[in-house]
Amino acid sequence: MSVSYWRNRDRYFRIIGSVCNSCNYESFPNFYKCKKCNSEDISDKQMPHKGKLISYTLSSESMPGFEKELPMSIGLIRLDNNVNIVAQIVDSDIEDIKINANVKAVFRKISSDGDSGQIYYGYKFKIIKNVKK
Amino acid sequence: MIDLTIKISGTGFTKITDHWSKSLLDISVESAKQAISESNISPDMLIFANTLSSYSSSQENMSTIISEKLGLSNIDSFKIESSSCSGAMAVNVAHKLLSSNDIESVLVIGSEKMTDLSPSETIKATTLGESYEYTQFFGITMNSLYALFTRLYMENYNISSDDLSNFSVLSHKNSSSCKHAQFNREFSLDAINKSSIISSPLNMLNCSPIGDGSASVMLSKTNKSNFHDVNILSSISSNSSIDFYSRDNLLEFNSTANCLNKSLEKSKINLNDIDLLEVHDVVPAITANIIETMGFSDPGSATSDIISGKFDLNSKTSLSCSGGLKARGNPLSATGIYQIAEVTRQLQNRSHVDLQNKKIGLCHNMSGMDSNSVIHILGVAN
Repeated sequence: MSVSYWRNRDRYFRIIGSVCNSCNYESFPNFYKCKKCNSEDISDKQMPHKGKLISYTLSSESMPGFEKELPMSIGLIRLDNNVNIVAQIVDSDIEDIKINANVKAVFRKISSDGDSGQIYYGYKFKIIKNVKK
Repeated sequence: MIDLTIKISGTGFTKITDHWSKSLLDISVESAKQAISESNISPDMLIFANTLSSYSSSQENMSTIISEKLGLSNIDSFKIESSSCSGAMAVNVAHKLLSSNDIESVLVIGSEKMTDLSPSETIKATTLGESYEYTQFFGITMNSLYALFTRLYMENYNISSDDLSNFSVLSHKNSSSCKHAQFNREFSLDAINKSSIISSPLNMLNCSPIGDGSASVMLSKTNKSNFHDVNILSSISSNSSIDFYSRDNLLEFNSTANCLNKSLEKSKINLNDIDLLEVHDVVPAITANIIETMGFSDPGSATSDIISGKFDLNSKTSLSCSGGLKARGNPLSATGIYQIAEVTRQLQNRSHVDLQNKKIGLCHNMSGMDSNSVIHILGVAN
């Protein structure tokens, strides 16, 4: 996993997606050809780190290496630029995880290669309460 | 008159269960032998549909290995992979090759060995078709994606999780007497709703199960079997985007919609001609959305249609007569071939249920969240 992690580290650390330089369409993950205007003039772009939950789940099953995360909250988030992302929700009370809850990205450990191997980091999201209008 | 001449001339399948004493090769040979025997044909080509062999059995080159064990040498053999619609995709490729080549017959085998893996490896196995970098890396499972979709569907149409469970009630009712199905029992609505949560709002008895299975069909230009002709009226595939959450409309199943339109055009069949319907009924909200996308129900009304009995066995359009993915089982790449083999036998009046006057069947198999889909329309010759 470590080489693909190294390759994607910036996307995982800063939530880098793509923007079309022709029509300004933005998306995450990155893309190679704009699905709105077919342009291939694409640049990397950091996505907003805030958004709202549009769906969520509390999972009681895990992939190998994620056993300690259970139960694992996962959200479908609409970022402030209307781009959607799926990510783990952490540091939040279960009762606050609901549709339209405000969330922000946080930098967290994702997994590791055993107890003494490489540690992988990336984005997760947390609920923010009492957002000032 | 029907002018397409490619036929399903042989079918075979194993029971879907924990085949701990049998290998991927064992179950593949078992279903293939049945299809060869039924068809009375030695195929010109063998296509193997599979998505997990390197992960669950540390084995590739399976098409050659199976060919050898079946005593089929000096023929074309290869593998087709497109996640959970590999089975129907392999039949689609076989159909295309038969339509454009001088070959006469193709044996298509779809097999999956899922129970050789540990529980967490099995969860990863079911998620391999989704993005590694943005799903698996973060520990997001396939059932979690289904759950996110389910909540979106429930919110959009104001339908409860408990009501959606009626899909699973019907699936289990239909599979209760189906010998090859993974579940040969019914479950009450209450039992389904009280089953443990896998990924909220999805509970265990609304998720399709894990099981080993293999199904085979022989496609040929002539039917030498003892059963009457079942013709492939259309075989169409159409893909969409992989990350469902990146779509403009999160409930839109474009792959299924486009595939269906092309299928109806090609087969010259109307939706209300369909007597037997198999869809990729992996979890109830997905099933509902597929049925609505196809136009068998109005948007948001598939659940009330299920409750009212619109898709029962004895209705005009019978849904998942063998229990579908939920109750017959879902051994990934075998699933699409189970659908086609089952509908073939149902059209020939030799299935576990008494289905009279059923002439046309539609089988819909898809990968992931409608990232790719394949539809076969089958019909009995008059």
